[in-house]
Amino acid sequence: MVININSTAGSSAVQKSANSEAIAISFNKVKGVLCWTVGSIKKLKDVNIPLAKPFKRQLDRVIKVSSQLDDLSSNPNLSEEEEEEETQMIMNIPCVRELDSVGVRFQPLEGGNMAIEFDENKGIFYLPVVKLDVNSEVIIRNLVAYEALTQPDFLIFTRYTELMKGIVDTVEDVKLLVKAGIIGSSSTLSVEETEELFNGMNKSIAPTKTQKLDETITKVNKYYDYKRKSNFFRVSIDYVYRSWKQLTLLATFFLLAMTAIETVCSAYDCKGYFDTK
Amino acid sequence: MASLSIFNSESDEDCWVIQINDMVSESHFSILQKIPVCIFHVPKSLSRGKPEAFSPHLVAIGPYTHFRPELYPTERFKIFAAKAVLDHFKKHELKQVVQEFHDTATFIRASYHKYLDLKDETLLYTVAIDALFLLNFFHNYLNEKLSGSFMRGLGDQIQLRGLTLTKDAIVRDILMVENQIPIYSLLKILLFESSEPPHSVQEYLGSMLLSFCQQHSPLKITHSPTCSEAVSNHCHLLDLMYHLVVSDAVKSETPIPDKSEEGMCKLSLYFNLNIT
Repeated sequence: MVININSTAGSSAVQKSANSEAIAISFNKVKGVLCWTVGSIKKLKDVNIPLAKPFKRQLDRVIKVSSQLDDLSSNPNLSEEEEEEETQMIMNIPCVRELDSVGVRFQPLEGGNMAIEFDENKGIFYLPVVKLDVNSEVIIRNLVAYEALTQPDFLIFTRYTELMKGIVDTVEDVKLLVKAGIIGSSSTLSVEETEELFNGMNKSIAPTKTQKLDETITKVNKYYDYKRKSNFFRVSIDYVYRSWKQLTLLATFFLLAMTAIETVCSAYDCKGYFDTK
Repeated sequence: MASLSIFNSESDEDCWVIQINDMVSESHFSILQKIPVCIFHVPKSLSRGKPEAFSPHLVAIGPYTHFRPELYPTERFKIFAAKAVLDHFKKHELKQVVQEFHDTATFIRASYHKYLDLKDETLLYTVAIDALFLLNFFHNYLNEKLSGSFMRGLGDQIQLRGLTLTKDAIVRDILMVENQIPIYSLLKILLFESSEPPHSVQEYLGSMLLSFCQQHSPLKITHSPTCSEAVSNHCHLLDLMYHLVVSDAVKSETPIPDKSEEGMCKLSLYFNLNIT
């Protein structure tokens, strides 16, 4: 949660105490991972309502200081509303491998293709089945363009391609999707080509206004954050238990050593020995 | 000059006056109001990412691209393909087909977003040749069980001195935004040429288009309309593909209400005009 530096009221105190250069550096760091954080910003916003005003003021001061540095990223300059707009524009969703690691399963969607759903209880992400061949990229791009030209108020297909771009980061992700049956077996593209296809898609130039799909994405993010946190605890507990034997051994040695010192000291004059004077 | 105006010469202006008069004439105006503009030029902002995905490489379909010099070499393929379809039906010559189309030029223009700097006759020839070429291409997708002997026996692919066009390249090209012609022009030609009843002709065309979309859609199509709906509710091939991919399940929650209803009535109006 360290990354949330520019969004939480608590961390702005940290920024205030730091000098301006450090702030600029931290912003640049933040810039890189902003995509990842926007989801949590939205979540934190609910918590931060009473703190929003002081937080904003803090942010303004920070901006004033750091505006002297021209390499400042544009992100902290955003006002609250703009930030929210940004949340809708940017597709921030963990990639397939990350989702898979917290136990999210992928299943082919039945029914309408764009009725993408996420089942929070079972952790199942329903996606439409994709069937890719050499023509697919051109077809997908033209469908996106056609959608933008004919119904700019509801860019569902555009949003879908953004979602796929979001969850596919590496070849590994594609392989997992193939295994889950989301990328159909009749696809003739190789995993590398598939990865390139999805990641080559453009970002939308306008808000897509796809409420339901956006809600689903938020749900996935929430689930992921929740699972990851509980995973962290579980893993750390596991770690302690697994090394139980070694820990006991260490403790035994420590106690034995203490006893030995005590014995030695009862026979000789330790006080005089340790006393340097 | 050319970049500042849609006209290239004075004679174009005369054409334009005739077109405007056509558009506002009583018989056309009420129909024109209901014809959706559905074939667009892709603006730079959209094609910037990969411009080559939006301009055809091999075949030009429709007036936007038909006269591009780099695509003209395949014109002969198209004409041969068109001729093959006409020969198959053995009813009419190309000239007669164009004549039959004659009164629809205004409506064809209405589907296009950009001004078409072509004379009516040129436009109709363009559309007729391209429609016939598409029919020749689509007939491979006919479901034989459904259509019986309709269009059977038409050669598989047009060869010109042993050369054939790559199928994948054609598939890509005919699904481009700028490379569309209205579906009803395909229907109209088929109705004119074939001796089957209008209802089944519409059915056959629908089945060709649907199976084409099913084969080439990037997403698995989970539900599909009936064949005749596919023809009557969609303005062109890409439109049909789009609506198949983004299936109606989501359509219902579209913030724009009664769009589909309206779309249906305007397209059926087309048909009353064009089928009879």
